[in-house]
Amino acid sequence: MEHEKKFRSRIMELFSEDLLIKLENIQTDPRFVSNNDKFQHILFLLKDMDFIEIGAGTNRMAVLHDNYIFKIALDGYGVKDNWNEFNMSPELQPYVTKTYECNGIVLVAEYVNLINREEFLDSKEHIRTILDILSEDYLFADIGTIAKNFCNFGYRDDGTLVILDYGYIYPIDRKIMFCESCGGRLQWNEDYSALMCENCRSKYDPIKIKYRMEVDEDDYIYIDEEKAKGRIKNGKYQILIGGGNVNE
Amino acid sequence: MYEYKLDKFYPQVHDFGDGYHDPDEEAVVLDRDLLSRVKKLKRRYRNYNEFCDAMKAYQEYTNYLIDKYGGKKRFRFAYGTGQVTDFIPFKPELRDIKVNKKYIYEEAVPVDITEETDAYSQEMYDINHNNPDKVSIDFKIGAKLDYDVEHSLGKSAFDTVQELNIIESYWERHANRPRKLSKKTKKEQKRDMLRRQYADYISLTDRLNEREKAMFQITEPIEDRDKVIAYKGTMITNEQAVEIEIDDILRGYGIYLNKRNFSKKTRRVVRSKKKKSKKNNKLNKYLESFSEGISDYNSFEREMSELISTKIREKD
Repeated sequence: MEHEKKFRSRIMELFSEDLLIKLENIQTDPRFVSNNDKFQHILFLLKDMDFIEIGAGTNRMAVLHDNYIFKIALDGYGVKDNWNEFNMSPELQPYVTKTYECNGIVLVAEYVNLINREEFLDSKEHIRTILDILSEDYLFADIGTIAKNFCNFGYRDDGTLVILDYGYIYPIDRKIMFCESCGGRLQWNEDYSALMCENCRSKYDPIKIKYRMEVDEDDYIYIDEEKAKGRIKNGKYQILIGGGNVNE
Repeated sequence: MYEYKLDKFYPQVHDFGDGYHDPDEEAVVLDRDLLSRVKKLKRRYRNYNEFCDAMKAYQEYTNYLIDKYGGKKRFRFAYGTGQVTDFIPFKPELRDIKVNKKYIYEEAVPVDITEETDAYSQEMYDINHNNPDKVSIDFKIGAKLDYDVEHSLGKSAFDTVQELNIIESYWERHANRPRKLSKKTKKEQKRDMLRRQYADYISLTDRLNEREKAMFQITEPIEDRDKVIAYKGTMITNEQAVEIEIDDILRGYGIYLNKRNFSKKTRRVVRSKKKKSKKNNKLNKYLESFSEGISDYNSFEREMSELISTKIREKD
């Protein structure tokens, strides 16, 4: 008889169904003007549960309990980020924090020490090495080596530098990494904060490049894989792989 | 553990093999005797033996707190965020009296040597705290073990208040004592005295300083580059006026500078000068043709007025 591994769920130990329903309703409640209001309300709901407030981001908030971080989604984008982090965590080890559980509304992750701005600036080269490795297979945003991203990095007790906010890391599809102006290939800039065309030096936001991944395969028009251009037809974003006449 | 009616709330899990899914460790239990001993701890002890016993209890309790919170760092974090609800005792001190001076100045902390004491401590200590007279004065500051334990606890508010009281009492004691006058202060006092006696008194150093300042004083007014002046009918800055003057001088020599080197405003002034000069040229030509060689405008005006008056007479 095989010994079955027993898994433990801290979400099920701490969050009742009523509480989860409340947290889910807060995401779409129109009475909250901003995510900051939602953050304050959720802290009020969790006040008797020994959670320590860590902080809030654009779409999620973080609290600490028993040396684990609980990331609670404040809106639909937060739920997407939670699932994305949970799905990407095993394959991105050891460069990112471990995410142990997720049900969309709540994500449980490893607690690491936050890095301050000075330490971040001192560790730029190390971070570039990590991003250089990740950039081969992944498209990412908000983890470049510019000063405002210092709050997205931390280090474990053994000193390993890790990315702690990786809601925007996606496996790369090389076919979409092209410039709309000249069809040239896109490459990361020095800071890994934006993509640039190697020919015409046009800049692209990685998030906008990511939207191209959502284009259906049927809307791809292949002509020549070495060049590519994009256009909008019938309100849909289409990709012309290989250039061609945009007026067709 | 909660059960959910809706399946969507059931979480998915990952197993990284790091003990996340293991049950919690058994809670560290505090011995009641130890707690009662710790609560009876005093701030200061007169007797060295009692101080030794108090320190033992204190160290045992601090080790319990560190175990309970899972390490020194975590305890510090919990203490800093106000999560520690346990009793935090005062750290016992030995009173600064004649009998205890040798222990205080050598900062000796008693440690019981047992089988578990590490070799470092055994080398450093040779204690028999039942016979304090035999304690060696060669003790170093605490055991490495004690140092770590003591420094793992955060400072209590009481400690901070005590320190402030000590600082305050020091200044109360020393503030009213007459200051010992050093040589420097005597000179300053003398200078102050002379100043009061002679209102116009200036010390030699002051006089030398003033002389030095006067020698290196710049009397010429420094030109303000950004000061706006009226230059040939337009308001421009000093810097721009200089640029235009240079341009005029060089034009006289037949050197025409590229206008891109000038500031925008300068270029505008130059352009308007050109226009004005063109205008002036046109007017001059017109006047010349009309006046048949009269260069003076005033004489031409006189001619014109005479012309007009003669015509009027003819009509009449």
